[in-house]
Amino acid sequence: MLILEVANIDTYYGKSHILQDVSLKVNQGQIVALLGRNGAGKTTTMRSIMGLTPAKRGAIRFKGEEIQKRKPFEIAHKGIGFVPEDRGIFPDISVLDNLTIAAKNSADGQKRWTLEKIYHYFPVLDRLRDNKGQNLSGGEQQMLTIARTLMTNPDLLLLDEPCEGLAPQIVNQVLFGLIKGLKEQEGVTILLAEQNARFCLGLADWGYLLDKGAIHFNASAADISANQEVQSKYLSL
Amino acid sequence: MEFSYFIYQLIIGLSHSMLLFLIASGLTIIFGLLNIPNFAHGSLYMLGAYFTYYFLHSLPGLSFGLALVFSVLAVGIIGAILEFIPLRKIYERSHALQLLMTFSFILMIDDATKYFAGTDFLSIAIPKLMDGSFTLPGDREMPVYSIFIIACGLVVAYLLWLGLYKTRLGKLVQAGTANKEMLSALGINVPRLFTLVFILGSVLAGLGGGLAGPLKAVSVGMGETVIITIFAIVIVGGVGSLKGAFIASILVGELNTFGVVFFPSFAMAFTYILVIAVLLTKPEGLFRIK
Repeated sequence: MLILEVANIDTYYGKSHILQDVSLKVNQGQIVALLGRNGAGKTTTMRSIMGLTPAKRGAIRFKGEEIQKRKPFEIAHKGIGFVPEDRGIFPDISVLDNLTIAAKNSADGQKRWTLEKIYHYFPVLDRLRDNKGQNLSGGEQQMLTIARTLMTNPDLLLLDEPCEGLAPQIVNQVLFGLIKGLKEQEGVTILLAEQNARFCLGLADWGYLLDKGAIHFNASAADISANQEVQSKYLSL
Repeated sequence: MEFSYFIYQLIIGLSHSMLLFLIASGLTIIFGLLNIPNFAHGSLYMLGAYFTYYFLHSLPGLSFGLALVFSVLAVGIIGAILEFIPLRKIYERSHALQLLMTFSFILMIDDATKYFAGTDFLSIAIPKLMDGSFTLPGDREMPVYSIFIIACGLVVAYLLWLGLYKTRLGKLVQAGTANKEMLSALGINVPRLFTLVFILGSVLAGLGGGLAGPLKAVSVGMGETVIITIFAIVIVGGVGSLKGAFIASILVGELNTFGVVFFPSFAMAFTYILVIAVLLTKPEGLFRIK
């Protein structure tokens, strides 16, 4: 079932035309990868969906409803959760407060994510609950930012560059299993933007290749993994 | 200097400091969260004094305390109007434009005040309950009202501390001061938070003005006199930091008071020497949030 449909959007930063006619679809329960080099437009796509950098043209439909004119907080209440690349940890308040100020019911009034469940998936956050956000390591911050967005009980998670700045062991041993678990055990739908294509393709069902603000190719993750030509053209593996 | 005189000046300085803190606390929270250098904050302080005068004189028999409450509410309403109609349109614009707009508020509020209240200096009597003094060692007369102002400053500081660190609203303010975009992406209605905080800041300025009323000549222009000092305090303390505003208010209040005692003709300069020293050594202020 289709949950998100981005249809022919154009997005600008000031006068510079960043996204050109970008279209993509995400089905319920899937992980869809947004692949491409640095500056390809992955973050702008996510920011457009979230309403942070609204698209100038085109439509974004979430659960069938057009959301491209909505404010970010309204889009969050419709059920989209955004985990930004810079993590956006609130530095002056505790880990626990970072989690609790984000807590809200899902769009259909459910509370799937509780603190207990968060601590089950992210035991490190339980241990650090009284630490201030600014005192966390990069890996701990990444856990917190994902956990915090889960506390909003989203139906769709936009995960922007979760591997960035993390040690390879953490990426492979912790993050990979975590995202896989979110999909398989919790049924979370994820749009995953990553430069680390190997990581991303290992998790995703479907992938879109973005270059210079436009989608150039889309296929199942298995087909992209098998396609050397596309990989060398659009990805840096 | 005699020790008793020193203590006396210290207490007088502290009452001056607490008045500054009431005004500066509102401005630093507004500047920190909304990122608007609200030059008209001093005008809200002035309105606090005028409204207190107005309520005392138009409702005979009204106690000073109630006049203060009414006046603070009135200033809160004016703050809400300022935020809701013009200010929220310019959050994304440059500070230069915001300064210009808030400066225009000063001129408009000044003119409106002249229109309604005239240009005469008005005075508010010290409330009877506190119209007296007691004798400190060394035969110094300490006005009760100065002690009352210190008490008000400390109570407000404590309440603000509780509000900022112990309530959800306060945590949202701290979070938004660091990253408002993230807060909105998490589903928080940030514009509504801004309005609330602007009203709170206005209320604090109004309270400062009402309390200052009996000490100063209530006049058009009292806002402009105080706003530069208040900005100095916010910068020294660190934009958005309540603790910083508290400490910097004490520094500036005492510097002024002792400056007048020791170097009367040079007293004003001390505040700005402090500002320059902080800007050169710790440009983010003593307790910058972030």
